[in-house]
Amino acid sequence: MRRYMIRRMALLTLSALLASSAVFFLLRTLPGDAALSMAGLEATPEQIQATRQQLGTDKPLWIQYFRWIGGMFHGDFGISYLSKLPVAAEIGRRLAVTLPLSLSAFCLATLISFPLGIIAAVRRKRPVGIGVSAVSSMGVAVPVFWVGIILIWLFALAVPIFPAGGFPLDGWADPWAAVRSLVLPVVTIAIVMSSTLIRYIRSAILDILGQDYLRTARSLGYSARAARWRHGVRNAAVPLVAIMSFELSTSLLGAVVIENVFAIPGLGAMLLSGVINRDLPVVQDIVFLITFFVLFIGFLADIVQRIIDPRLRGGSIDQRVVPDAMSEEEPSMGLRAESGRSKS
Amino acid sequence: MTLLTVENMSISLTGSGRPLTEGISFSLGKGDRLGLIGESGSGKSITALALLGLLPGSMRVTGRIVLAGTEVTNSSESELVRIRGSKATMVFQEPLSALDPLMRVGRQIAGPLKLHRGLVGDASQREIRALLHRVQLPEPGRIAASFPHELSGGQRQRIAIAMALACKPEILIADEPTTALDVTVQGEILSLLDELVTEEGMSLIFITHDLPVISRVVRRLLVMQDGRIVEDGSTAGIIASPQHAETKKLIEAARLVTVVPYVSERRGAK
Repeated sequence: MRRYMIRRMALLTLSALLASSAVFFLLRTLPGDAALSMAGLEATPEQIQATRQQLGTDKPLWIQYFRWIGGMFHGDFGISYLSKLPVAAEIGRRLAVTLPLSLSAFCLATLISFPLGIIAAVRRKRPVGIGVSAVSSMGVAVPVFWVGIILIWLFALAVPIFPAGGFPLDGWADPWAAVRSLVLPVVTIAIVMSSTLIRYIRSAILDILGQDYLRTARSLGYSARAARWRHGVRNAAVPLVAIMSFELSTSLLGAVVIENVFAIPGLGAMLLSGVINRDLPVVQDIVFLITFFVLFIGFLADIVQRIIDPRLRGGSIDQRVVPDAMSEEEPSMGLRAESGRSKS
Repeated sequence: MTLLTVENMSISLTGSGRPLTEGISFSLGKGDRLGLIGESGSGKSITALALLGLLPGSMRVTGRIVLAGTEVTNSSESELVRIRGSKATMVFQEPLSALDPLMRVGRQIAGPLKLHRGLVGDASQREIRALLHRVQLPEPGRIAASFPHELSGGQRQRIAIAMALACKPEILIADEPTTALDVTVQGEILSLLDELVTEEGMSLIFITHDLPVISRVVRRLLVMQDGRIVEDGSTAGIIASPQHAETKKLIEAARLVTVVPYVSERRGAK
């Protein structure tokens, strides 16, 4: 396990380096010179050269790259071309909005999806289960911004309970106002996320319910419920960890999109304005941070899965158990032995 | 003393006309050994599952099954839970999928020990070691701490047998317990089952498609074809003078196995 952790950490570092260089060098292929636009139209060549030195863009690209990477290790994320302020401080302020937004959306989606996913699996032939499956299938097809617009229309315009958008200028100074302005975006992300999550959870649980070891436990005298507790929960946890890690990454990406629907000054809004203004330090920092976040969640998920499942411990490094969400296959229940015999 | 009576039992898929088994009747007394033999799809395995009331919800059973005084067909699930394990339990064909992949095998044996005999702590640990010894597994300490994937197929099947023994059942149902195993291991598991059933005074229902295997353990045979019992008699009698075409086919197949030379048998196995 320790050997695996070391190898996995090396892989994380390598992927992060690859991602950072991809982000950095791809952005440099864009045409244009930041120093030219910053120095202004009437600038003398000397002034432009001075601006280049100030920005560090007079140095070769690879030196700029290593400066950027090296700086990030001690919290220096560079200076925004536009505001001339440190990017790190601004990212910190934006994260104070985006992290609560995406994490509460993730938690809410989890709270909705687990009970519904379990019901959809256990009662898959009853109206309740079929209904849950049908609604969640529809939810998968709906774009997140559309849900946002509908919610604004319902709960900000038709029945004005929550603000249609924006976030208090003084941030969390008035926590109640801040929470109120996050309710609709959180619910929006959670609704869309739950739809996928319910399907994944349903399929993971259906798969477990058809496993032979549950039948073995029942043949030994465990009730179906006791067998599920004794053997089902732990086994279901393996694919569920993969699903949850994937959805946690998605929640951050979802926040980036939905912030622009609700005019919330989070990381997503900052990224978008960075892109529009060609503010390369801002864009590369945010893109890299999000990428690293996704990589790190995957790293944690891999470790947790190996703690749960001993079979994965000896396995190769890229092995992660992900269930097939779209599989509509019914569990075979006691019939495995019967069908398996044809092999012999 | 009759432990199990099956009368005119039929199993069918709900919403489908064709029955999977039809008119199955037999009985089993204390210490009896009964073999169910037939080809794939002849209904042997679902018959075994029906005896414990373990058929999936999509199947319906008609007729009577009386297991240790309990009507299996009319009983509630909670009544069935009370008789499963202690009255009758099962060893399945695939020892790998029959065991929980994430639980150390020692704990898997500890489950039924606690459930049926109230053993916990040191008493349970001692009994686990004793059971592992009885199924002839070496180094009980190491084995008990292993996960199923760390054991061989034969070792896994011994674990499954130890779990069944932990229940102290009156009837052991073995559903193709050797089919998934190597030929050499098959023989060992058969002798082990034979020994344990005798020592414990258990009754045995042994299910297979393999006549040479079954004739080593049981004295009475039921031959099944397409969900019906087509021949019923002593193992020796049936082999000496088979009446039904299906029985003759099984005997012919068994002869072929002994005649076919080593090389082509290997080709057939892979």
